[in-house]
Amino acid sequence: MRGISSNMIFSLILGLLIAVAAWPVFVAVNIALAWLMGEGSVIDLWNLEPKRNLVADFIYGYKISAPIAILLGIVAVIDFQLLTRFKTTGYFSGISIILCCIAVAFVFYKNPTHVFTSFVATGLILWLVYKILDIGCRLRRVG
Amino acid sequence: MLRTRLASCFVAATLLTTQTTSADQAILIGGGYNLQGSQGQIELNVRWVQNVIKQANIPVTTFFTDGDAPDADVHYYHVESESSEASAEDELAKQLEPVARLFNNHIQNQQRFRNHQVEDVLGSTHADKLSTALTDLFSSSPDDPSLIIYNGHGKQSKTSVDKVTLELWDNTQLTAEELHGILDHSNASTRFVFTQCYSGGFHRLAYKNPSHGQELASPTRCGFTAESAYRLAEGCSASIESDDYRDYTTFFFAALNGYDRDGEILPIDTDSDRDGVVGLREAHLYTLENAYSTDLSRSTSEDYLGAWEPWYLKWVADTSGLPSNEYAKLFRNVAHEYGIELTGHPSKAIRSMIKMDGQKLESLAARRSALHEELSKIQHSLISEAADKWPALSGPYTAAFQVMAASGEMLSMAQWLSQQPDYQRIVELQNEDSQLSDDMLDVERHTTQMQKLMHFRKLSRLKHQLYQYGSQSEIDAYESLVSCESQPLVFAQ
Repeated sequence: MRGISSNMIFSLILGLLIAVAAWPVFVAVNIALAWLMGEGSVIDLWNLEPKRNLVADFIYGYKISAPIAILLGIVAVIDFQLLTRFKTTGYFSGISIILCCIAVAFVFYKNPTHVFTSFVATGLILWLVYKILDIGCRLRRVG
Repeated sequence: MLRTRLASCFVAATLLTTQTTSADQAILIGGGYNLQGSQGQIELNVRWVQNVIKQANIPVTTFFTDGDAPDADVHYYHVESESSEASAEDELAKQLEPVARLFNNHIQNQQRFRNHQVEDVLGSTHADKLSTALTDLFSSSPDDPSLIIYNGHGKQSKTSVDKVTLELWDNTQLTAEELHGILDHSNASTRFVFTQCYSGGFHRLAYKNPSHGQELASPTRCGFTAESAYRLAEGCSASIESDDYRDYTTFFFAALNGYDRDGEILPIDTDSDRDGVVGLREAHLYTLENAYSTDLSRSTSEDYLGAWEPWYLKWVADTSGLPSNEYAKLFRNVAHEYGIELTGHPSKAIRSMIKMDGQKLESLAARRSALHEELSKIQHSLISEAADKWPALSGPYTAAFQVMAASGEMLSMAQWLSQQPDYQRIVELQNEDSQLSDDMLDVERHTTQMQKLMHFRKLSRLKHQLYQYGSQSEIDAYESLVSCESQPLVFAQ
């Protein structure tokens, strides 16, 4: 009984964390990619627009992307429940987050190849978040 | 060279010989909000633009400062020249220069005031009077397409872009929202050219709702602004010398006219589509490419692209190359002019130039700060010495000071000051200060060119994305704005 409730708490935390982190991670990843690849559009925004507008746009993006972020959170929870039960499937746990991010790119963008890297990188960062929680959960079980 | 000059002549001739239909009218509004804010440059701009419009046979209604009132409503700075005879005031100013420099009033010492010399002024720009006059004008001829040109000052709004203002005579204001309401009296297309600070907020005139939304007003309204709703505009420097005019008006109307302010034919053919007529959009694109100023100008269609940009595209690092359109061409041309390699990572080069400009500005500001400290010390010491000799000097708004000034002691003081060893240092420091100010402006202008490049890249992508992601109604709205902007000075029927 205790195991089930702690599992549910972890699932809840995981779902919430992925949902909350999805948009900021997406924006941060794009800024980092723009910086690394020498592409300027996202970084240029800091030079072209007032900071308060950027903050407002960021918050707007946060709100409007919420359904997708929640969907990612749910996918993470389902993935966690299905794949972390067994050692063999545990190796692949979290992969659905990356796949889901790629799917979002293909659904929303006319030229997904242009944004493919951004979405894969976002998926990878969210996967890392997932893995940290997953490992935390396992260590707690062992403890 | 000869070809472009001939082409420019042809464009100018076409512009001048085009038969105006009665449906065209231009409304020219200009001047500052009070005497101190009414620079001679604004007046010269208004006179020049009025002349360009008149040459195009468009009836122009002009509003300027206090209208026909005979009081002084323009200030300018006297520049000593051999060709013009100095007035008694100029002579006195010259003699009193050491005192003026001692108290940092040497720039005001050259300031002169007079009534404006704009011809055919219909009325004042006082907000109430102007609102009434414009309402009457639009109500009496609601089907006449109009071109509104404003040359003056503007103020920012921290709350909403439609609350940016035209700063009008007698310290009155007209917001973009209020002007939007006035334009509702017209049933015809309206175009505008606004060159004041924060003028970008006036693009909201083109929308059905001035405060929010993307639905365009009907019939179409479009225009050009020197700046966004968030930045100061170049211009309004009180120099009356036209050699250094770099404001949006100067470039925009020169492109339409084919001649610059000094009457010289432009070295570049501004009729980029070679259809024999220069449209306002062509003039705007010419200005974007050629104006070396602190203005990051924009048109309503560009503003529309920025407002349209969906949230899921704004933050994406697009790895594709620049699409092929007019903004990409501008990007390439301006990048080439500033030696930015297009192969590799031009964005990094642009950002690095902006960083270098920032460092230059910091260094100039530091030098200026040290200079001000030294200047202040010398001035303080000299003022103390002078106050010992002329005690009335310490109370400039007193009877004792008036008695001293009336007795001609100020001139004696000026003579005494000019013989002091420290005075020459004051002159040197003040001249250096002025030079530093010019240098800082130049760095800011260079930074703006780099920001322009970023802006062109952004517009180039946005335009491409609109056709990829936009709905048909959004594309139609954008194209209607471009079509409105592409019209020549005389609206095509």
